[in-house]
Amino acid sequence: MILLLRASRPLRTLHCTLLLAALAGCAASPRLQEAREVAADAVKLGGYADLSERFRETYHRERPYLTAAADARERTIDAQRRAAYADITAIHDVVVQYLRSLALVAGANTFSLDAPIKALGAGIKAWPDAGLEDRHVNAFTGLARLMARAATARQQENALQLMVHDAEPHLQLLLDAMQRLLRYYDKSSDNERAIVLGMLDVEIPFAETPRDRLLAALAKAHRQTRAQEYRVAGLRHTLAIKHVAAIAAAHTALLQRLEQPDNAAAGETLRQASGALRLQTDALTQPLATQFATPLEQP
Amino acid sequence: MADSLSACADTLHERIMQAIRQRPPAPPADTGQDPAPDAAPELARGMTQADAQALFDQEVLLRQCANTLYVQAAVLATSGLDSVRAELMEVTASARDTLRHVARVQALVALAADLVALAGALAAGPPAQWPAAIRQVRDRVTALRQPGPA
Repeated sequence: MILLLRASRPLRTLHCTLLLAALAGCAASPRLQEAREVAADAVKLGGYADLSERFRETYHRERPYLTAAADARERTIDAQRRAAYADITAIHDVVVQYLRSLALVAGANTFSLDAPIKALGAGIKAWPDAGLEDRHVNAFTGLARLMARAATARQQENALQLMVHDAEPHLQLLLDAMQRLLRYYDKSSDNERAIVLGMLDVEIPFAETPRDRLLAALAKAHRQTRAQEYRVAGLRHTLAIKHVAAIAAAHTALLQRLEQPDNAAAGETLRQASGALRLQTDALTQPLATQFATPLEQP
Repeated sequence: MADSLSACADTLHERIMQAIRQRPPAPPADTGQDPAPDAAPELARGMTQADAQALFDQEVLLRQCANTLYVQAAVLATSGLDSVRAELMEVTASARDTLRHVARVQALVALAADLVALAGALAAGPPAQWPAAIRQVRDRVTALRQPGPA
């Protein structure tokens, strides 16, 4: 290569330029960029993890409101919840690990040989009396980088496609399970809310006598706080379910896009799925307080 | 099943609250309590506090049954996924293998660059530059011998 460049003549320079231009065209792959975006949004699965933990701690929150008999019953359910939690988090961990790897495989610098080739050029420049001028070396490193980029981009896309393809059925099953779990958390949380607020609702009217005025006022204020908490919890469940569903859709769209790079419809589907996922991720990471028009629910 | 239990509990709760809210001027409630305005607070309402608590306890029981079913449904949803989890782990592991391989290729190209730099230093650079160039090559080779980052 060095010898070839050493004999650089105008014609060869022209050839080099044409080759450079041709290679530059295929160097940057939009599909890798799209995959990166999907992986970056999908990996924020915090909603599921938090809500799983909330589900596990149901008994802890309910406890002050339970009668002795109900407390004994609830303790049995609590043991079951805690037993289930290990499997629940195992699903989360596997999915997160996969998504992190996906982000790495699609990563901008993961496959890149740019930096070492640049260093190679610098090393050659340090050679004195080799008869090489700076421009020769620059042309060499520039060409080598583009060729390497074209080769690595293809390699990277192949690796990515293989990964997404192999993972798709399993990931879909796990995401489906996660959505179902979140729905159960939500329903379970509804019952928890009814137990906690119901207890207050049943007792407050009996405290509304001149003698228990303070008690009634405290109970009502407490009820407001708890009602707000359950409202936020319900909203978080809904958002988390939508987020997981958006990940599932985006992953499928990504697979189709990688398998049919020239299909415009597949590209459009991925764009939409990716946009929906971005919206859901933003909604999930936003402070929930801002999503309420009325800060407190009236009892 | 759990959903219908929850719905039953909801209905029961509504009944309880309705009964509690029966105010003195209102017509007598189903429970047939005396609606006299001067009566004790419990009697002024549709039902006594003890009755309300007992009924609410029934509601709690219903909800707890429903929640037990939800936990069992959750267990069911996670069971049988062990193999699926293992499969996805395998995909992840093989992707990490690819990454490790690619990191090796990057390191090899970097080694080539270091060797060229070393040769340059030996050929022309002052001896003071030699140790740095040699150290760089040695580090690179050591790094290549070790398993790459996951």
